[in-house]
Amino acid sequence: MDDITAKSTHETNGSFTNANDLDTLSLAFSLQHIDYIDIGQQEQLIAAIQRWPLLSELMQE
Amino acid sequence: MAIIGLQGIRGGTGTTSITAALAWALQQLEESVLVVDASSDNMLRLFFDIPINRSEGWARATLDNQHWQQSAWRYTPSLDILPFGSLSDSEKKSLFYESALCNKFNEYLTVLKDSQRYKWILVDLPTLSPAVTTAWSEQMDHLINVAHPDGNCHIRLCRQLLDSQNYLLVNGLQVGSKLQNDIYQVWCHTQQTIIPVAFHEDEAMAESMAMKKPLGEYSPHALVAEEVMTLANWCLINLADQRL
Repeated sequence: MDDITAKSTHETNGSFTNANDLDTLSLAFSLQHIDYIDIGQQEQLIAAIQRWPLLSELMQE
Repeated sequence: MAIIGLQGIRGGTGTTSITAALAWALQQLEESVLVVDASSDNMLRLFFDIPINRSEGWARATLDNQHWQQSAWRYTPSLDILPFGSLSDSEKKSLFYESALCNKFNEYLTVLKDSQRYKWILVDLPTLSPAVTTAWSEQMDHLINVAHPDGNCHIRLCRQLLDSQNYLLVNGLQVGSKLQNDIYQVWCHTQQTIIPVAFHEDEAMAESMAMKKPLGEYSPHALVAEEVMTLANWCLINLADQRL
């Protein structure tokens, strides 16, 4: 248990891409790989692009 | 040892300030560092308290047929500076057509590299004249491109695909700016070589030049100084692989 806690803490302190529940769960349950799309993050990204016509136009190129 | 070139995606991204700050951070980590100014603006030296009216530098020495090594300054026992030197406006105009001077600079970098005297050589590259800097870039082990998360830099990044040897460093990130945070998020997903530490906008960076000191010496506890120290450690882990 101590080992799991230590690993989780380390990972969530890393870059923001790792700072989500999925990574913590993967470590806690030793999941090797899940084909998972972070919908929350993807929605934020889409909203960011749609907010600004310049970003939208450049993404379409 | 490693030769790292730092170059703005456009002018005004803070590349020279970052070069000086990174050099200081590396020498704080007990690394030996030489910073080299490859820009005819000749600004880098001002971060190291060199009097503004001193004209010495490698380009000045080359044009005057003097020894370029004698134009270097020692800032601390493990941090040396090689300024570009003061050139007249007409000398600057002819600079980019003067391939002899560019070739000489390539020679100097080779000499420095072969000497193995420094663990790190940081080269502040000018943004303009890719014809010149492309040749110089080939001498670099790694290139760090500095960008502000704004529309201008975003357009440039979309048009020029970064080489796998080129890293992208984000500077001047403003926490309260929705646009900047949106662009930064897009870059985190689309730029494969983005460095996982971004520099936040901090008055201490601007003040360091006015104080004629590298950031970490002037304001070691500023948030951005800590971010520069993180970058220095990242460099030690990721870019120092070619050291002997």
